[in-house]
Amino acid sequence: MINLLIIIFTISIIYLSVAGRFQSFINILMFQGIVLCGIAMLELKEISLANLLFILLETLVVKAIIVPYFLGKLLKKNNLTHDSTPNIPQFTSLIINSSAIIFSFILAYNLHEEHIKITYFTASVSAMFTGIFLIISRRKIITHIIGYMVLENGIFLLSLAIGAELPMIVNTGILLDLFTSVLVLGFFVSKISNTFHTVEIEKLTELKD
Amino acid sequence: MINIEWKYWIPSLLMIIISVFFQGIINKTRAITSGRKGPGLLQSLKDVTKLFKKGAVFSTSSSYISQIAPSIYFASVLAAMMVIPFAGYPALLSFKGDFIFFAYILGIGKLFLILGALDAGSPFQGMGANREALFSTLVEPAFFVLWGSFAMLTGQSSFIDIYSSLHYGSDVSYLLGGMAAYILGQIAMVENSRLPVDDPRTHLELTMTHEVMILDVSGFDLGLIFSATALKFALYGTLITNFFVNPNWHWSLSLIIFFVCQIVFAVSVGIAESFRARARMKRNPQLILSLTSISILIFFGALIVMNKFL
Amino acid sequence: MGFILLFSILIGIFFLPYLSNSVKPFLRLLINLIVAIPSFIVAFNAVQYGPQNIWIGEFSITGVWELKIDELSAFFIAIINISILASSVYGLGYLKENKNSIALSIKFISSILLHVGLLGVCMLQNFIPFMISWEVMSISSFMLVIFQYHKPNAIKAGLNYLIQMHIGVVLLMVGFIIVGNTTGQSNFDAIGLYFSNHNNNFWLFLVFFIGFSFKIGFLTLHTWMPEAYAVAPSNISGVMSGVVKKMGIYGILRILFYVQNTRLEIGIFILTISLATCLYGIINAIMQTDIKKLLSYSSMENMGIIGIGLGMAMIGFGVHDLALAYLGFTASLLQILNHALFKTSLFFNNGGIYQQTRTRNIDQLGGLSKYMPITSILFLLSSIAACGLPPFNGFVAEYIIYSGLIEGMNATFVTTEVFLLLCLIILSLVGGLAIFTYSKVFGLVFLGNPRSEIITPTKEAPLLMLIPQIILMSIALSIGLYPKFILSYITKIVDVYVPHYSHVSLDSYSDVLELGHAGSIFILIVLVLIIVRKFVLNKKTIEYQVTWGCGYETKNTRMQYNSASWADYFLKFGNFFIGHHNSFTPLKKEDIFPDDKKMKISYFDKIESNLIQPLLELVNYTLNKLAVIQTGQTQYYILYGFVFLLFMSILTFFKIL
Repeated sequence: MINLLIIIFTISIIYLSVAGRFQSFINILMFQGIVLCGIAMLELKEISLANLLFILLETLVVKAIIVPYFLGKLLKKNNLTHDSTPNIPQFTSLIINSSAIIFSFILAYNLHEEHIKITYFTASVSAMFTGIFLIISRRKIITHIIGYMVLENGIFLLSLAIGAELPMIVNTGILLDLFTSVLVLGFFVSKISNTFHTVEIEKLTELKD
Repeated sequence: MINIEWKYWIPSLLMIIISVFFQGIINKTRAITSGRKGPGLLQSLKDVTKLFKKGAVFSTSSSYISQIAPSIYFASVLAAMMVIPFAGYPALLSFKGDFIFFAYILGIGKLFLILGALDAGSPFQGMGANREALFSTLVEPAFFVLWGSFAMLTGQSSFIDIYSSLHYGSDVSYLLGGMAAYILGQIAMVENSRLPVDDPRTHLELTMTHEVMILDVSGFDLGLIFSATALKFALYGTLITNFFVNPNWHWSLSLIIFFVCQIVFAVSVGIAESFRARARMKRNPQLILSLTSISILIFFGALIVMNKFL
Repeated sequence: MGFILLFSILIGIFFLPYLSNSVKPFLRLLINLIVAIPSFIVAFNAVQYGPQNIWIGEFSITGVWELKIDELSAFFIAIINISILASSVYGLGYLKENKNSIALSIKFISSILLHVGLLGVCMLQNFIPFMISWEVMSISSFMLVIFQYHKPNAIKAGLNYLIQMHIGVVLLMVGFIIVGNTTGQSNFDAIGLYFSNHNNNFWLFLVFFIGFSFKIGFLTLHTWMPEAYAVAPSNISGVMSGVVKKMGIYGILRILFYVQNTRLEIGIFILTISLATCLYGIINAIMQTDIKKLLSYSSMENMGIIGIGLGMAMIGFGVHDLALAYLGFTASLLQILNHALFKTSLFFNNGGIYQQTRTRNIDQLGGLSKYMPITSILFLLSSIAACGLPPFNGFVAEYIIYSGLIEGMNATFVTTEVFLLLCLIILSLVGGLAIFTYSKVFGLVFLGNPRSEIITPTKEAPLLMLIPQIILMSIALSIGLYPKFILSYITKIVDVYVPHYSHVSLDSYSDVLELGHAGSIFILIVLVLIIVRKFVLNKKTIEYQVTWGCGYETKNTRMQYNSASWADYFLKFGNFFIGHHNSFTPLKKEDIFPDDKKMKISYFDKIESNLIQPLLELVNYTLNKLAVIQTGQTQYYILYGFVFLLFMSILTFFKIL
């Protein structure tokens, strides 16, 4: 069942690299939050109630509801629909992301690390790669936020991979997650869009000096 | 050698029967969703028989290619049909690696369809031919990775053996079946130039793909091309159906599931076409290539099922 | 017997220049036949009864000459003879109007030498004779490339070819010297001795691989190819692409035979290079406007497919999956033969078109199928074979490769499986792109309407030029319909590589026989449909009207799809591999009354311009700097000699030397 969810998670990563609309990005984030919740539930069976609630809160409430909700609000406020001008054509980024999946599989397989499960590792490394690649290849700052979120999801999944041995790592990962989400949502976006009335990263160069 | 006993003919006959209704079901669904009554289910059959009775008009710039291309296209689909089994009934032709033959024989049909379009020397037909050639090129890896993964999973390499040794044990294997059905459905849409890569109802030559290629084909030849398209849908529908049929079931149950699956496939094509817009030409290549990425995941899923992944 | 043969060749070469131009091609054909028939008979014996020792002699300078034909040589000898004979027959019809007697004599002598050199490469077992023969082959093919020396670029392309071949020769020499010095022997078996005494076989293999790759044109070493093939006469391009290139593959096969360990690494290396070559070749082929350059990039793709087979085979050895090795070698050898058949035919065909229209530019041709129907049918059949589509021979090889990949995915380790998966993806993509390429070249050259006035007086190519193509294509079709026959010979060669005890056979992993049946059934269905159609249309009215222009009435032939527009959509997302200049400036908002606009797109080889050119410039720069010491005054040269002596004596003094 976990493997099934991980494959579905990876499919959402592939969809991410062909999607062009912000709304579909947000839907993917929401979907990934739900899938991650499922994976966490199944993976961490022997866990205290407080921890369980904490994880549930983080994945389901924060990842799947709050962050997408605020991002959606942001889109409405700024009248954004498409990220139409990627630096790298989507066709190329699809090829690169697919190769990243294959590459992370080969990497995982050749690590020979007992504590890390290959499926988790493949999915999380490719999610992290896709997140970073999204940040590199797109111009709009909102896509960058989505990239960070996907990166976070990857890190969360990786922490789940070793979570069975070290539950603390999961919690730390979640705290990091929460921190980033709050930081990103509260500070980064609303400040910048209020000050500059723009979400184009190009305009941020005015901030230099 | 070709098997000519009666039971080997069953899959082909079933496909021919369903292909008659396929286009009708799609059109009917589309009509109902848009609040119309729509033509009868047998309308496409009537259209084709009418075309078969008509004379022909050829372009003055055309050569012998125009004369043979539609026939070869139809023949390639017929030859591809001969390798598809159904639910324990083996195909007319069955050998190791017959899915390779399936893809390549459709490829030669496609080549002749493209050449037939270029034969008239029309700028529009060249455009359509170019797009069709590119789309079917990009969709090829998805098909091969899909069947390669299933061949790896089952240890077999012909359609009938793959299907009969495919056991749904774990949850991942169900997912694999579902993903395979999705990919094959999408491949069918691309190969037949339907939404989202092309809209057959569009009437602007600049945005057409398949329809613009056959602008100068008429009469008998056009009938052949229409029949080939309908048959192609049935082929892919049968490939999908086979994932949901167990060869050991009673023949009546298999038959019911065959028709149910095909009708569901046709209806879902109809519904998708009613509510979906054609993707922009620029986006088509990546949409098609993403099928390959998903089929790579099928490969990894197959590794998980085989316990090689852990 | 051998001496009579040699004697007759020499007499032929000696008398050839004194004959009249019309007799020369016949004498060449005669000599080719004299060489081909005995070599073919010996080759046949070698396949039937095992390796044949022909002659061993010793000379003071070059050492031992050992002429020996084993199964592998026999296979290549057969291909060489078929291709060269086809080319000579073709030559009877080609180049008739060329009256320059000396050039013709040189051409015919070179082509005879090429034939002898090719056969020598296949037969000679010792290093120095092998290299001599290799040089005879390279130089005679160089002479043939620059045959049309008056054309622009001919000399440049030829020199480029010659220089790159000799870089390859240097590497081969290095390899042979290393082996010769360590083992003290000078025949191919010494390589086996070297390999078995060393734990890491990779580096020596790499030296040989790169040396031979210059001939094959694997990625980054292919830059001589498009130009050289474009300037050479068509029958020569056909032979060069069909056979001369294969000698590199022959060399690699020889070396691979002796490799003892690090086979997995070698396999993955060959596979990666071949996949890149394959993809790069076919993507650049799409862009070309010159038919011959297109064909030469397409042969790059085919070399890639051959390489994939070899890579699979070595991976198979590496992971002890002998079935994978078996299928890989079989597919590779079959593809060598296939490519010799259809690519030779395609080049020959192009010669016919060139003779009639005096152009190779796709954008100037069009509608040729109405003027040259037989040529067009032959081109169509060869391109179907080149795309690897059934029912022709190319498909059989691809089918065996796919069977091997699927077998390998079943049996090997996971990391290898991922490599084979990549191979599957790229191979299927390349198959599709080949259809894209050949539909472009056939569709634009033979279909539609002529794009310029050049075409109008065109008539069918001479029969003598068509017969070789018909023969080559009927061999190709017969391989496609009954692959069993040729595969029974090829598997004998493969048995040498894959030991008998493995009990691997082709039939346990593929059904080539059924493949032939399926192809025949397809042809049968086509024939039945065409007859039915004829029968139906007989009673109907048939009209001929102008092509529907979607309501636009003043169409002209320049509005047809051309090479650039065919490549345009692909270029939009494939431009990573393709270098192109576009001189078009789009309309600006201020242009209310726009002027005439012109658009010119040119494509270039990205590897040549981004990798090879800077490298050459670097070499040029360094050499220019070094030229400072060449002052032209005698005193300085004496000074240099003195400095050298001083330097040597200092070295001797400190006992460094």
